Amino acid sequence: MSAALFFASGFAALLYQVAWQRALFGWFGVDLDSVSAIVSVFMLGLGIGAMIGGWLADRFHYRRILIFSLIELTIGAFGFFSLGIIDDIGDLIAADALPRLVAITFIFFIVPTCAMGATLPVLVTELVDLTHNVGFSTGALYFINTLGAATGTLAGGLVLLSFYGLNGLVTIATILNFLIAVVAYLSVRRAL
Amino acid sequence: MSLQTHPLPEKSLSFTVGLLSLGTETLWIRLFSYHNHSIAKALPFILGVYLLGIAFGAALGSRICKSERYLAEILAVSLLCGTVAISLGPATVAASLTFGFYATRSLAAGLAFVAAFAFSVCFPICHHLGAIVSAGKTGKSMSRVYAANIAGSGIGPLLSVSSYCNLARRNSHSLCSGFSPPR
Repeated sequence: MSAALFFASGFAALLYQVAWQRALFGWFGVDLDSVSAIVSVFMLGLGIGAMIGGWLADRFHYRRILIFSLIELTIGAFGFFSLGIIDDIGDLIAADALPRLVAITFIFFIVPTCAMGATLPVLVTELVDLTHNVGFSTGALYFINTLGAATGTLAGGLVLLSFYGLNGLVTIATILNFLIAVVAYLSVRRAL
Repeated sequence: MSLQTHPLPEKSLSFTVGLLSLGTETLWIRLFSYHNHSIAKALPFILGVYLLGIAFGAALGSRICKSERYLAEILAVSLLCGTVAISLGPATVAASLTFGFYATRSLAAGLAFVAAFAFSVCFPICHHLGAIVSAGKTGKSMSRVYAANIAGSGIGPLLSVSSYCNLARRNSHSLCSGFSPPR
């Protein structure tokens, strides 16, 4: 069950990335410099999220799955409103210079990217308590999550986008996030 | 076997693995964007191939960490294999242009997969060597190694675009001009 949830989490994350990257092409234009700037901004958020996730995993060690559930809920809530906000902000800043666009992108995406970055440390720390092996736990969870991410990228970018458009991609990802959050929460309730 | 005698090698290695992975991914996106005449279409394809390589590399790295044998040696060999794959990539792709559009595309995707796979084997090993298993500390120590990897992943694409792509623009234009679909 945990593997399926983390696979779905990776799948949803990359559906968002494909959709948001497409939407942000409207802000940045479609060139390699823009793609690299957007990827780097996302990575900065993920890095900060990773540090926060590690701290949360140690601080609330009895509630890690509940934290994971809240993280997924946060991502889903942001995702639900994301495309509308990107459109609204884009209308205001379309003529701005690249550094300002990068800064606004960072501020706008800080919450979801931090949330996405926090999931791996939270779950790895939980698994390490069972396996006592950091490398094995990290590799196993990273494999599941990245396999979901790869599936999400290929399915989202090459198939789903053509049939459902950007709104459809984000809706699918949001539903997945909410489902993951609910299932994770129920598993915590059952364990109590 | 352990690199614990040095204060920062695991985080530095983790940073380097991220830098090489995402930095070279940007170069592959560049090559494929010529191939598809569009970055928007090239991005999900190369990202998907790259992520598959990363996923299966992490799976192998995970098994290696379970055995806990020759971790530093495997890490060094994996980094070397990844570097060889990206070094030989452009020349090999260029040499294959005469075999047709789909053959070239498959070869390029295969090389991108191998590079991502090799670098990703290092990911769990870096965490295994760099993180401490201790109550109340595991999360923080693991997340520092992870954050170092992400920092490298963030800087890699910027370095690729600002340095390599500008330096190699003329050569890659020449290379990629022959890397286009059949009419």
